[in-house]
Amino acid sequence: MAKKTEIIDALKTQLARFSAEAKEEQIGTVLSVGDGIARMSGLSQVQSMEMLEFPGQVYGVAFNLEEDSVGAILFGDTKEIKEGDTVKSTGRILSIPVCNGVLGRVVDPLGHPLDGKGKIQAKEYQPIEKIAPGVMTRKSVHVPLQTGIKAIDSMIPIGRGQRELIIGDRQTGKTAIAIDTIVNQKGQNVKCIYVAIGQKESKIAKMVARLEAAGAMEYTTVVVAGASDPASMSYIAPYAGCTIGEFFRDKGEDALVIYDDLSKHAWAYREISLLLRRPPGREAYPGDVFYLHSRLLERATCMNEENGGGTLTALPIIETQSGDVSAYIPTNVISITDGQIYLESDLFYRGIRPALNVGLSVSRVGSSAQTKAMKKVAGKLRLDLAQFRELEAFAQFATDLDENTRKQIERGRLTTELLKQPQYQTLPFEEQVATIYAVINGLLDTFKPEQMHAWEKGLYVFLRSSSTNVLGMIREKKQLDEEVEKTLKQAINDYNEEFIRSQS
Amino acid sequence: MAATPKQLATVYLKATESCEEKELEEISKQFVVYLKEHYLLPKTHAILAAIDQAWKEQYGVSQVKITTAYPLTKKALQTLEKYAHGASVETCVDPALIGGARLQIDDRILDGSVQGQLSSLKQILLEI
Repeated sequence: MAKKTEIIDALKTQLARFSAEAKEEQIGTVLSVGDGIARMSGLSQVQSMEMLEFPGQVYGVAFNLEEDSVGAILFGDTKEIKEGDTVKSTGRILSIPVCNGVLGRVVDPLGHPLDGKGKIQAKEYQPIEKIAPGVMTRKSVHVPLQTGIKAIDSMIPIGRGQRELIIGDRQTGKTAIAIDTIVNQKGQNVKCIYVAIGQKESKIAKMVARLEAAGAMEYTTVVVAGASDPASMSYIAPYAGCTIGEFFRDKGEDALVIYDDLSKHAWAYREISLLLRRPPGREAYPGDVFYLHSRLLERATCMNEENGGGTLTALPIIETQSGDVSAYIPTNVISITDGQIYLESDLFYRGIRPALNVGLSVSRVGSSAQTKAMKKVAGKLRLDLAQFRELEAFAQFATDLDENTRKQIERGRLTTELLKQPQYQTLPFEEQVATIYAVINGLLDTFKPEQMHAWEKGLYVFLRSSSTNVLGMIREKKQLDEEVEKTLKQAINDYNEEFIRSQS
Repeated sequence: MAATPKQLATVYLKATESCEEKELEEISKQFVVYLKEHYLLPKTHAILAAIDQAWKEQYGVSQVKITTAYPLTKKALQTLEKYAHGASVETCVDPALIGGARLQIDDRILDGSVQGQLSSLKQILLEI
């Protein structure tokens, strides 16, 4: 019985919103339709980026406002739309629902759920295109965003509110870095948004399952514009993801948004632009393709305290074609972002994974957000590796090397080996510090590179169960003062003895 | 200096304002001859569009279409003519509206039909 009245009540509240008054609407007539775009006459008062309603509940967005016609991109099935159909303007700028309920969900760029878990109950709608916050509302990056990957957290640190590009050829582990970063945000109070642009649905499904298994979906939203969706969906997907991220940022929380990838986004925009007959430029991209990405990435910010102190970190991904970073889109995005993580297939096939090119990867602002402990060990690590690379190239020609050079090369090999890290095995920063501390201070010089994997694995077990609680000390103090350093050194030496015993 | 389509349209509208049908034909003929002499015929499309625009500016509306479920009464039609002075009024009967009327003025629409209300009611009920 209770159910019956509940249903009636629900219907009553819904019907209360209905009024039988005639309302004035603006209309247009479809002149031509095809390839996901439509041209219309009429609609003289329509705004740019306003939602348009086509017959059969198909929505579009006014994109080209010309003197006597309007060009629109369509989201959905265009088969039902024909010439002469009436188009209604809605008076709403394209917006999506935002609320805490989007976390843990898989949605399309319009905010419709794709995971079958029911409608997203949002009170608030926000436009997908917003102007980025101004200079006076910002603060420089000061809190680190731990990716959990040794090579990145030490040498290419990322701060909350930074924009760090992940660039590389196909199959070099770009998405893997992004996923690891999401997984590592567990318990860090960072909301994550993963925007998949033009990817295979099977790949996305696999990834969502992976995130769910790692317990990372609780704080993650996946925005999907699949490979079979129209280009218009791919075009708006990153802006929709950014709007969700901004919702958390404006509440004073920390958010991370990953755009995977922006090359496909640029392709989608090129397709739309060419169909709407905008003039093509270099590589047939329209003239405003730089603004396309700059206005998106500018929205990633670190706000100051008066404005809530929230942050939005962006990790855009760009796929290069056979390592060509000087193509149009890669150079554009490199110049917009605050640094890049450069991945190479050569390194990947040599077994160095993550396949990070340490020489070409940089982070322009992240080091100011690094913890003191990490900063102390990372400086030497960077220097050691740079010297190693130089010497390694030189040593290929020389057979006899002096003692010093040989030692440096040996240590370089050990370091390279230690910086390898399998996927889905992220590390907290204190464990990273301990490992890097050991190698740069020559505590591992007696070992061989092949032993490093076993050594590292054992070290974490040893340190976690160690009675000195050195990991806890680093975690709390966030720096290596004399006392911590002494304890750490002692612990590593103790472990080394144990390791040698176990090896023999 | 050649006249722009907009100027031509304004002149044409002024000349034909409040004149009889016969006169209108004569003026129009002269207008076309003028266009031919000044090699302006290729601009006909632009001029026609400009006439439409100028008409709209002068009278506020140019096209009015009213769709009803049942034929309009004479009185209603007269009232409509009075309000939409200077516009071309088209009437249309569509039983699918069930009741009420739908009024289209240029690119605006005023939907007071039962069909329109039912479809908006349907939309509200579907939003769960």
